[in-house]
Amino acid sequence: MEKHILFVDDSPTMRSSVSFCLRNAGYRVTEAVDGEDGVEKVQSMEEKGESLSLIITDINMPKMDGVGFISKVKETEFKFVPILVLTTVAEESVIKKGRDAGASGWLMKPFQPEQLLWAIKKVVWPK
Amino acid sequence: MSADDETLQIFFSETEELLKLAEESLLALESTPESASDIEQLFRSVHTLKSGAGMVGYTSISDYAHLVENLLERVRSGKLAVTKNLITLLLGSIDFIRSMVDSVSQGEAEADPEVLNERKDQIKRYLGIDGISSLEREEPEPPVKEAPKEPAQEFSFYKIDLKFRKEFFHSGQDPLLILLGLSELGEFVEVVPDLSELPDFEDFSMYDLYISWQIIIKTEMSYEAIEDVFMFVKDDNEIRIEDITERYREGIDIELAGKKLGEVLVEKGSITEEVLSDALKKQKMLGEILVEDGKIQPEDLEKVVAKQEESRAVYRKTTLRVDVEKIHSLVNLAEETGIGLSKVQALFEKYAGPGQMEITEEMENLVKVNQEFQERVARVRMFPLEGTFRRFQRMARDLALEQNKQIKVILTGLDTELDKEVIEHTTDPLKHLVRNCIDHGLETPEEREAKGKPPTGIIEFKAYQRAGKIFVEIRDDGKGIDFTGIQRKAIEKGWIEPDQVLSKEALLGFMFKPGFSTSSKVTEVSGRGVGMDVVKTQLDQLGGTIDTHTEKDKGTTFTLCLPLTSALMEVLHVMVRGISYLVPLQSVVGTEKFDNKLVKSFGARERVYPFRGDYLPLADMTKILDIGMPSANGNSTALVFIDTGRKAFGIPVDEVLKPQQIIVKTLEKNYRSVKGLAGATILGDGSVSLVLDLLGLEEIFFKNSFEGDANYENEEKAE
Repeated sequence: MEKHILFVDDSPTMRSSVSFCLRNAGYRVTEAVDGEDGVEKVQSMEEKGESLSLIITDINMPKMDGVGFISKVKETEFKFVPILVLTTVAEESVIKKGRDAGASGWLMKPFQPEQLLWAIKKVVWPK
Repeated sequence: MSADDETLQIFFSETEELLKLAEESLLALESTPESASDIEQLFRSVHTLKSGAGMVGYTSISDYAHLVENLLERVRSGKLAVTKNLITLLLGSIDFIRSMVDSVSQGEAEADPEVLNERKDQIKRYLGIDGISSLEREEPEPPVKEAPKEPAQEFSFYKIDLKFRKEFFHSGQDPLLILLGLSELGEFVEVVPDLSELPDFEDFSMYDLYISWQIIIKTEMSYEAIEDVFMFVKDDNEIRIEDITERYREGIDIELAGKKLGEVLVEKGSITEEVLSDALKKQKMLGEILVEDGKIQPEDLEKVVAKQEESRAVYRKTTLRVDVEKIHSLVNLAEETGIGLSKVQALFEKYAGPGQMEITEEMENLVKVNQEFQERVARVRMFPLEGTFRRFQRMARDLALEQNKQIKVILTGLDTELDKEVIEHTTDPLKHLVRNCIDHGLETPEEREAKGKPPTGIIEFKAYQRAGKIFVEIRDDGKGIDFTGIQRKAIEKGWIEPDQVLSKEALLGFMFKPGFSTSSKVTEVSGRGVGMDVVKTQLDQLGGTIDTHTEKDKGTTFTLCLPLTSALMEVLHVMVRGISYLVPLQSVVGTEKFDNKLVKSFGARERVYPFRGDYLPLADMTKILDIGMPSANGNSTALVFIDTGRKAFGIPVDEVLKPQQIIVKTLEKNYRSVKGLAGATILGDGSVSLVLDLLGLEEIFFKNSFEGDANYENEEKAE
């Protein structure tokens, strides 16, 4: 079965390019535009009994930021799903915040497709 | 990330939106320069634009936006004021970004390199970075490295200890994925899982991780490549990677030691499988049979046997795996021998007789030997500080880079060994101190040059052992601690009066008080928010101390003094109602004779007592430990004053005996954890005594009155 990834980012460019790369690599991708939307997507997956292999989320987002989003995910049945957070070089503290919230790893923007897939390989079982 | 056309279209329309937002906020800032929400929106727009441009591969736009973002970061953190000039510059930057975006949307190059550099220099002047030399530093490090492919010369062997947190699975991690990633780098020579932490079935939780691993891997990859496998997990878990290639010197393969001679001979091509199995059937010494049968020359056999012997010797020397329980029992036995010795010593004193001088002398020698024995045994659990230091080296470097500071990190005393537990508990305090050095101590290259110092600052980590303690020093050659800043803050917090003159030591003390932080804003870069008080609390719990030495523009040295092992503790022996207790000495600030007349009642249940110009609350042990009637007027004859760092209070006791050094045994193992008690120990006379956990005690005793206390303090300030 296709692995399912939820990608949460407020930038349309990020969503488009990351989804493009993930779909190319054979993943099914659901997009969310911010933390709140992410929570809704997760809850609806929970209701429909869908599977979820990975969550990738930006930290700096309007409405609900990545840290808030992660802590919401940890309240659902997807709490053991690996989570990668996106940061930029200048935000080392963000990595820490994400990790404290329960993220599994991080990825610094901008990144190449190989780097994205390399990070995914670290936390998701190969197909 | 290379992008398809659709992504590019999205990028263009998003960028247009972002540039518009940025412009709006800039114009709004022109009339209200302080507006935090506009600064935030401006920052976010540029930040998002930078990431987007990077993702679609427009590096010039991304680099330039990165510089603008840095500038805005300074505005956001209050380091740079919003002036008309700045707004003009920023509006120009926005226009420039827009012109680059327009160019690429028409399929042209982003910008003329010369113009771009000019534009960049303009911003750098505002940032205070001199032109070209810092260009490299501006380049973001490749964030996620691909596993480096370049082979090291020949093979290396690494020993990897993996001890993950019990809650490992909760952060979506999977140890097997990590082992899998590791296995791709080379060949596992040895994998030893440690199952000793596995609980009984009833206590087993399927969401917890109990297994740890030790792996020896043979690989062509570099140390960094191995470390990369643990990139996401190395900070929160105990991962030790050790290059053990050295131990394989002179080409001795320790694998040989574990193999049967026959296997080695077959591998070396000296005999064939058939010859081997024929020989084995004869059930004699394999070597003899082979020589007898003329299948192998005696010399050849000798060579291989010698090689194998050699290998076995090395193998025996290098690997000694001992169950940790064995070491604990050794520690216990050594300690009991010590107790026995003091008992005998006491008996000799009691039954004085002829020849006592000599006996006493011998006994004293024996006690000394035993002390050293105890120390050596404790040493078995010790690790060199190297790993910890290396981590901080990296951290210091990264932090400095983020702040455009230049540093050189010097590490000395890497071999200095510390108890595993002490190392674990020292990591956090050290982290704070390193942060402090870089954030507050170290100046930018420009500032340093203006002071006539070399542009590159120095941070030195140094560890050494002296008088049974381990010292860890963190020294920087930065600007030193700002005493007027501390004083100002202390006045602001109402800790001291504005005209009060205090010694430097007293001022430094404030730095470790909860709620203290000289920088008014927590910067995104350093990500602080917890103060240096954490350092002190953690060190107190360990029984360590911190000493600060600072000189203006010469730098600051923090010296941590740590116990060799976390189990040894200095305590004060006291008696309450005929029961003996041990009070951790490092929290004791003084003892005094108890005078009932000086006690003041405060509210219904709180009693206070004057101590060094303050009134401190009294914590009545008889109340909290439920050992009989509260001693209302009591038979207490003395008071022990405690300062846990969070709160100071006095404990009335019946008798203060002498301070001593003990090995604390936890109660969990034999009984269960009890709040207010850190553990127990057996005293020299063979009796058991309880060790107080002062932080726990403080919570039990004062938790209900904390709020009241706060009000009380406020009232006091208002007066």
